[in-house]
Amino acid sequence: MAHSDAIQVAQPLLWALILLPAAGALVNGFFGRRLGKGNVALIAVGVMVAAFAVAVFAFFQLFHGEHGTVLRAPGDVWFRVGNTSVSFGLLFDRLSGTLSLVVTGVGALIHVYSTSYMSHEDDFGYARFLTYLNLFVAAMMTLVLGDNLALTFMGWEGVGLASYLLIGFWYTDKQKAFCGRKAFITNRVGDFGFLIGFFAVLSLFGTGDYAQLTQMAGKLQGGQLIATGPFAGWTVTAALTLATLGFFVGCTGKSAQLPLYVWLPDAMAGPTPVSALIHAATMVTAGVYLVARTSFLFALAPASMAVVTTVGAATALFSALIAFAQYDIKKVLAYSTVSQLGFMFIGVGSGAYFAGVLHLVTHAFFKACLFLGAGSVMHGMHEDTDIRNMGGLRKKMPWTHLTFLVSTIAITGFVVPLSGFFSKDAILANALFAHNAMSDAYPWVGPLAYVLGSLAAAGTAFYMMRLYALTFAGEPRTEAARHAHESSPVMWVPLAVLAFLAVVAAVLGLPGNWALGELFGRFTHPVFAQAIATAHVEEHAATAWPFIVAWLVALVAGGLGYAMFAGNLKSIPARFVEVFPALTRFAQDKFRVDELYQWLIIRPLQVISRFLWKVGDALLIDGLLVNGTARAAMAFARLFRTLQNGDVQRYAALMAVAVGVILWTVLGRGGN
Amino acid sequence: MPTVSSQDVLALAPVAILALGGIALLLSEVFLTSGKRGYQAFLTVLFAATAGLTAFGATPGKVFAGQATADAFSAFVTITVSFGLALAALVSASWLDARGAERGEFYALSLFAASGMSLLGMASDLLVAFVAIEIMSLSTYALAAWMRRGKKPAEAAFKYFILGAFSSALLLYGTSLVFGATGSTLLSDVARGPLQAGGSALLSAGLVLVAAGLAFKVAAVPFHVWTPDVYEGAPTPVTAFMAAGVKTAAFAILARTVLAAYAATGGAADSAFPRVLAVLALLTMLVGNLFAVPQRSVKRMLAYSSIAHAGYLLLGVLAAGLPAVRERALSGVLFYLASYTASAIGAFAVVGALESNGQPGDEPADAWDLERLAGLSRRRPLLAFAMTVFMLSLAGVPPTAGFVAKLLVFQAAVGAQYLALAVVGVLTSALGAYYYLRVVVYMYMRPAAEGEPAGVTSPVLSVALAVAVAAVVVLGIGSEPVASLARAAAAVVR
Amino acid sequence: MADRAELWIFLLFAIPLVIAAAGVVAARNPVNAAMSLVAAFFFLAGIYVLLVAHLVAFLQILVYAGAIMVVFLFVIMLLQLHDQDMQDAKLKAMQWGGIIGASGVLTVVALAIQQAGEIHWKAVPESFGTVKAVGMLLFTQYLLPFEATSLLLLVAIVGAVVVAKQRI
Repeated sequence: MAHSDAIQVAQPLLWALILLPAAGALVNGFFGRRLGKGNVALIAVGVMVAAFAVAVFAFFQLFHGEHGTVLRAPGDVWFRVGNTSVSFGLLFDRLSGTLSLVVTGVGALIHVYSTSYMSHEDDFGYARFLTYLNLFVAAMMTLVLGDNLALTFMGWEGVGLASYLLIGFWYTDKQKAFCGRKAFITNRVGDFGFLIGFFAVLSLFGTGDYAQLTQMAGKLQGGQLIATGPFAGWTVTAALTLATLGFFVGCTGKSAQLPLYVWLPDAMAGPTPVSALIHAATMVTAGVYLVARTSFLFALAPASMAVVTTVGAATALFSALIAFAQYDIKKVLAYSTVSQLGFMFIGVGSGAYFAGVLHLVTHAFFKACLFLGAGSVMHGMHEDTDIRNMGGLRKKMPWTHLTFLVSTIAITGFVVPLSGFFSKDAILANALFAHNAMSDAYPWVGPLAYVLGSLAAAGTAFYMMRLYALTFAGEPRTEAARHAHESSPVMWVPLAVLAFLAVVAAVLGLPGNWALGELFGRFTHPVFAQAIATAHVEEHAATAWPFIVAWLVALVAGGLGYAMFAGNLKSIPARFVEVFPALTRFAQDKFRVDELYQWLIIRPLQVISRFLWKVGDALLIDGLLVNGTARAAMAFARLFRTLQNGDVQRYAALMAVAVGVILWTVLGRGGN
Repeated sequence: MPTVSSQDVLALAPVAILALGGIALLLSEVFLTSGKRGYQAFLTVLFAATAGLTAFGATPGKVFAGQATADAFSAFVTITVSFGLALAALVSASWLDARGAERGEFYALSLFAASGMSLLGMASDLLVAFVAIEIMSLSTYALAAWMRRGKKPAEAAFKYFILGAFSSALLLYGTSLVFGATGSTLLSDVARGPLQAGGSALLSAGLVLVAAGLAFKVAAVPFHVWTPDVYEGAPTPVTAFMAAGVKTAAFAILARTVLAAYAATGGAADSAFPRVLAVLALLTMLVGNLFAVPQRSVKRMLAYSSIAHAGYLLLGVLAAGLPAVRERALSGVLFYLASYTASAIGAFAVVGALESNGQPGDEPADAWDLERLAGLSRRRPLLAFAMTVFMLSLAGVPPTAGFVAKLLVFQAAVGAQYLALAVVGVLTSALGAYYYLRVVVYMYMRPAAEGEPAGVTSPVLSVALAVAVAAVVVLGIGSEPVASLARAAAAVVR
Repeated sequence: MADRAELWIFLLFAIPLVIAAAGVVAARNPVNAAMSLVAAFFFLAGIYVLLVAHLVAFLQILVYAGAIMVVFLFVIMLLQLHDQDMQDAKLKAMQWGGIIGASGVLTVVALAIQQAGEIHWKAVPESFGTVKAVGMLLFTQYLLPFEATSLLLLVAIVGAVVVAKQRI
C-alpha cells in the first residue's frame, strides 16, 4: 500500500518537473535585474536541484510494482479538433524517466557551472542567461514528459526557441546573431517535417496520445489497406512510412543529421555551457528520443528504419572526417557531437533501441564533461579557442585535464570499463547482427552501417586523441598557454561529477553474458516491447569478435592520433598537408557544405527576397521611383505599384475588374 | 401576418444595450462639466460587458419574421465583438488621453459600431445585413477620421469611405439580383435556390456580388487594396478595433451567406462558387504574407498580416461548405476570430503606445518603423514581453491561441479535402513567422537607438495588455472551454 | 401590343438615364455633374412609375432630386472649386480599367438575366406600390431593417458632426 501511496504522490509531482524551471525562468526574467547575481544564481540552481530531486523520487517509483509501471499525470482536454481531442497529460515511463534524470541532473550541474562561467556578464546579461537556461529546461521537460505528440511538439518548438535565444546570446556580435538565425531557420525546415508526420498520424489514428497510439498500432498489419481518411487506399506501411519519415526529417533538423546538420557547428557561437547542455547533452538528442518514443510506428515501416540507420551511419562518418581538420576546440567537439548522434540513430533505427538510448545517456555525460572542460580551457586561455595555441595544459589545469582525459577515453572507448565503449559497440554489433523487419527487407543496411560506423569510431578515436594531444600534452606553444590557470572549484566540481558518471555508466551497458549484463536493455524493455515484437527483432547470440574488432580499431586509431600530434610521428600531419593540400583544405572547409547550401538554397532565396524587398520598397516610397526604367524585370514591380499607389480610383478600378473576372468565371463555368 | 413578440425584442437585447450605451456616451459629453473623461472608457467597458453577458442568456430562435436569428452563433459573435470593444476602449483611453483627443463621441461611435457588428452576427436576411454593415461601416469611417492630424489620416479616412461606399453598392446590387432570382432577401429562402430553372445564373451573379461586397469588409484579395493605407492612416486604437471587430462581424455574415449560397447552387465542391472562394483564399494567404515581408512599418506589416489572417479564415469558411466538416470548420473560424481579436488588438496597442504623440507636422515617415522597437526589452521589458506573446500568437506558435486557431482551421481544410490549400496555409504561416519574429528580434536583440522615447503607457493600457496576454495564453493552453463554445455555436448553423 | 408600348416607354426613360448617369461620371464641372444626376433621378423615377411603384417614384423625386441635390449643390458652392482644378483630369489607364471592369460586370449580369428567360411573376396585388402597402411591409416583414435604419441615421449624423469638426 505504501508504494501505491508514493505513486499517488509522485504523479501530480511530475508537473513540478516542468513548472519549477518555468517558475525560475519567470522570476529571473522579470525581476532578475533587480535581484542581483547571487539571488539569480540561487533561484536558477535551486529550481534545477529541486527538479532533479523530484525526478529521482519519481524514478524510484518505477522500480516498484509491476514490471511495466508508469507514472501519469493525466491532464484535461487541451483542445479538440473534430473528433480528435488532445489532452495535456504527462507520461513518466522508463524512457522518459531516464531522460528526465539526465536533463535535470546534467542540467543542474551545468547550471552550477554557469554561475561561475558567466560571472563576467553584467547583471542583466547574467539574469538573462540563467532565465533562458531555465526556460530551456522547462521546454525540454515538456518535450520529454508529454504523453502525446502535440505536447512533444510544443516542447520541441520551445527548446528550439531557447536554443535560438542562447546561441544568439551575445547578439551585439553580428556573426553570432547570424548563427542563431541559421540554427532557427534550419530547424524550421525540420519542424515542417515533424508537422507532416504529426498530421499524418492524426489523420491515421485520430489521436496523438502515445498510449492510445501504441494500442492501435499494435493491432495493425503492415499490408493492411486503409479504408477511410486522406490515406484511403494506402497500405499501413506506406502511410506510416510517410509519417515516420516526416518525423525523421524533424529529427535531422533538431538532432543535426545529414543534410540539416550545418547549424550545430555554428551553434558553438553561444556560451559554452549552452553548447554543453543544449547542443551536446540534451536538446540535440530530442530526435533520438522521438524515434525511440515512436519506435512502434517505425517498426511498422521498415523503409523508414533503413533510412534512419543509413543517414545515421553516413552522418557519423562524414562529420568525423570533418573533425579531423578543425582547429577550434569547440568545433571539433561539435562535429564529434554530430557524429555521435549518428551512432544513436544507427541504434534506434536498426532496432537496437536500448543501445541507442544508452548511448544517448552516456554521451550526455562525457560530452557535457568535454564541453565544460573546453569552457574551462577557454577561461584559462582568455577565450582563445584555437588548439594550435595551446599545449601542455595538463600541468596548468590538473582537474580539467583529468576529467577531459577520462571523457576522451570514454568517447573513444579504448579502455574497456568506460561507458562509451559498450554503448557504441552495442549499437554496431546490433546493426551487424540484427534480424528484424528492416534487415529482412534491406539486408545491406545493417552491414553498411556497421562498416561506416566502425570507420567513424576509428575516426572518433583519432580526432579525440588529436584534440587531447594538441591541448593538454606536450609543451605550451604560446604565452597564453604558459600562463593558463585552473578554473574555480564551482566549475571543476561539476566536471568531476560528470567524469565520474561517464565511468560508472558503463555498468548500464555490459554485454548480456556478464554479471550485470544488459541492465539497461532489460530496464527499458517494457517501453520497446511492442516495437521489438512488431519488427520481429530477434535476439542474436552475443559474439565476442565485433567487440574485439571495435576495441582494436579504437586503440590503433587513438594511438595513431596521439602519436601524430604529441608523440614520435609528429612529422606526418605536416607531410600529409604537403602531399594532399587540396584535400586538407577541403576538410578544413567542412567539405564546403555550407557553400553548397549557400548556392543551392540561400542564394536563390536571397534573390527572391531581394526581389520582394524591391517590390515592397517600391510600394513604400512609390513617388520616388516614378522614373522607373523600361526594363522588363521591373514590369512586375511596376504592376504592383500601379495597383497599390494610394489612388482611390485605381483601387476601385481593380475591384471592378476583379468582380468582372469572378462573375465571368462563375457564370461561365458552373452557373448554368 | 407576423407580429412582434417579446421574444423578438429580447433577442435584440445585446444590440440595444450597445446602441443605448452609445447614446449614453453621447449624452455624457453633453453633461460633462468637470472636463475629466476618464470614466468614459469604463462606461464603455461596462456596456460591452453587459451586452456580452446578455448574449449568453438569449433564447435561441428566429425573430422578426426570420430576418434575424438569435442563436449560439450570434452569441459567440456578440461576445467576441464585445470583448474586442472593451479591449479597444481601454487601449483608446490611454492613447487618446495622451493626445488630448478623448471625447464621448469616440466611445459612442465605437459602441454604435459594435451594435452594428452584433446585429450582423444575427442577420439572416440580406437587407438586415446591409443595414447592419452600414451602421458598422459609417461608425468606423468616422472613427478612422478621428484626429485628422497630418495628411495621412485624412486621406485614409476618405479612401475608406469612398471604397466602402463602392463595396456597399456591390452588396446592394447583388442583393437586388438575388431578390430578382428568388423573390426574397431571406437567407433561408435564398438557400432554396432560384424560383425557376433559368434563374440560377442570375442568382449566382447576385451571390457573387454580395460575396464581393463582403470580401471588401474582410479584406480578401483582390478587394484588399484599401487595407494597408487605411490601417496605417487611421488612429492606432481604431485600427485595432477595425481589424478585430469588423473582421469578426463580416466573417459571421460571410459564413451564413456562403452556406446559403452553397445550398442554393447545389453545394457541389467542384462547382464554380467554391472554386472562386478557393482562389480568393489562396490569393489572400499569398498576397497578405508576401507583402508583409518587406514592410518596415510595423503598423503596415500588421495590416498585411490582417489580410493574411483573412486568408486563413476564408479557408475555414470554404471548408464549411462540406456538410461533413461544417461544424469543425465553422467552430475553427469562430475560435480563430476570438484568438485574432485578442492578439491583433494587443499588437496594435503596443504599436500605439510607442508611436509619437502625433502633433501636426510631427509625423515622421518612420512613425512605426521597426527601429522604434529596437531594444524595447531593456527599456520596457513587460511591454516587449506582451508584444512577443502577440507576435507568437499571430505567427501561430504554440502554446498561444494563434496556434490552436490555425490548427483547427487547417485541420478542417484537410478534412474537406482542400489539401493543397492547407499546405499553402502552413507554408505561408512559416513565412509569417519570419516577419513576426523579426519584431521580436528587434525588441530583444537590437540595441536601442539614442533618445528613443520609452513610450506612453498608463494603468488602463496595462490592464488591457494584461487581459489580452492572458486571453492569448489561456486560449492557447486551455482552449477547450472557448473551443466547446465555438463548437456549440457552429452546430446551430446550417 | 401592350408589351411593345411598355418597352418603348421603358426605353424612353432608360436610354436618357444611362446617358445622364454617364454624364455624372464624365462631367468636368461639378455643377454639370450634379445637374446630370438630377436628370438621372428624374428618369429613374419614370421607370418606377412604369413599375407601378408610385410611392417610390414620388419619394425619389422629393428626397433625392429635391433635398439631397440641394445639399450637393451647396457643398459644391462652398468648396469653390476653380476651373484649373478641373482641367488636369485626363482619362488615365486605370480609368479605362474601371470602365472595362464595370462594363464586364454589366455584360455578365445582362447575360445572366437573359438566360433566366421569361420570368413568370405572380401578378402583384391591386394595392401594390401604394403608401398603405409599403407601410404594411415596412412595419411587418421589414420591421427590423426599418428600425435598424434609425440607428444608422443616428450614426450618420454623429459621424458627420465628428468628421466636420475642425479639430479634436
